[in-house]
Amino acid sequence: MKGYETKIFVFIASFIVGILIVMNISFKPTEQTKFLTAEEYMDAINERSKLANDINLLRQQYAANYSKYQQYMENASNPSDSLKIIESMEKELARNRALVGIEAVEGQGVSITIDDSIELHLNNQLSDFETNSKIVHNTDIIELLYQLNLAGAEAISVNGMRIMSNSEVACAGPFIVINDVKLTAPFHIDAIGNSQSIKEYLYAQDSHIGILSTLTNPFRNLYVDFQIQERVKIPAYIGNYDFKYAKEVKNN
Amino acid sequence: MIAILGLLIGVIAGILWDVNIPEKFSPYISVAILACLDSVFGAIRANLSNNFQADIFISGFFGNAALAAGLAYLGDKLGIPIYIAAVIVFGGRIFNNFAIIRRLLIEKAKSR
Repeated sequence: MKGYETKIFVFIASFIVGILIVMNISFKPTEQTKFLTAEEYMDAINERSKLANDINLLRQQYAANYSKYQQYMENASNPSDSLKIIESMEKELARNRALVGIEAVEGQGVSITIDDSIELHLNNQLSDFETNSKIVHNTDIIELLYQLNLAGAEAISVNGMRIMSNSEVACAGPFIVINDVKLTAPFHIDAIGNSQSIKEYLYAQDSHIGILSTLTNPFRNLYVDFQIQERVKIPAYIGNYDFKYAKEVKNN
Repeated sequence: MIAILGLLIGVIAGILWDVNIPEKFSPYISVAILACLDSVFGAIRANLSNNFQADIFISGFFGNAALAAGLAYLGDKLGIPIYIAAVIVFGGRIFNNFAIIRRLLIEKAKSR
């Protein structure tokens, strides 16, 4: 009888211990406190604000798309208005095509003509180094294109070649290759944008020296003709602009 | 055997019951568990040597647990790790008790 009593007590005691152990271990995954260094904290804060920004942007996008959708739905009930939908879709498509560059565009802007220096023909006493400096190089064109973009040009063409995101400006001996087409001097560069600000930017003389100031200085002395135009017409891109490797990202 | 059975049933009951004590009490409960384990081992030993007394066991079981948890709490407040004292004492006694249980069981088996 005495052994029996002991067993009961031991059983109850070990039962309690078992419950206590389980209570203490807790099989649930507990939230772990992590101590961050100042740098990690900064990163986390940056990430958070970036995500908040993203959310904001997505909300705005959603609102814009939703209002468009609403408009479509309203017009969809009325068959005569479905033409209006198609019209607005076509407008959007044309705008996108113009933005990408596969559609010709026109507007106020500038046209620049650049040619090799006339000194090349007048003076045959020039050293190789000097001769080299009096020729238009592809790097000059590249820098000019960059500065036009910086000055806010919206569309650019060189000798009728539309400058796209994939356009190259390569040196090929006496030629410059743009969009796989060999071009020779003189180079006519058309750009649509705020012509005044483009002019000021390209001819700047202060801390930033505009590319055209550099090209027209006595050392280079290239022929540069800069004209502000009321209407500049930029042709569409001619060529194949297909993605072979790049794929659209879903859920963007 | 009965102790292991009880422990198992206790663990299962604890899982089914699913209560979690707040995290800040966790270290005190750990010390209390150690004290309880010590009492259980003591009870088994007493049972084997036939001098088990229920009142002593129960008072020891709860008293030791409460004292251990209280000391750990007090140590926390004072800034001295008193819980180490409980861990060493109860840990040592558990091993002691286990050694005696082992000896008694083996002697029993031999004398049979």
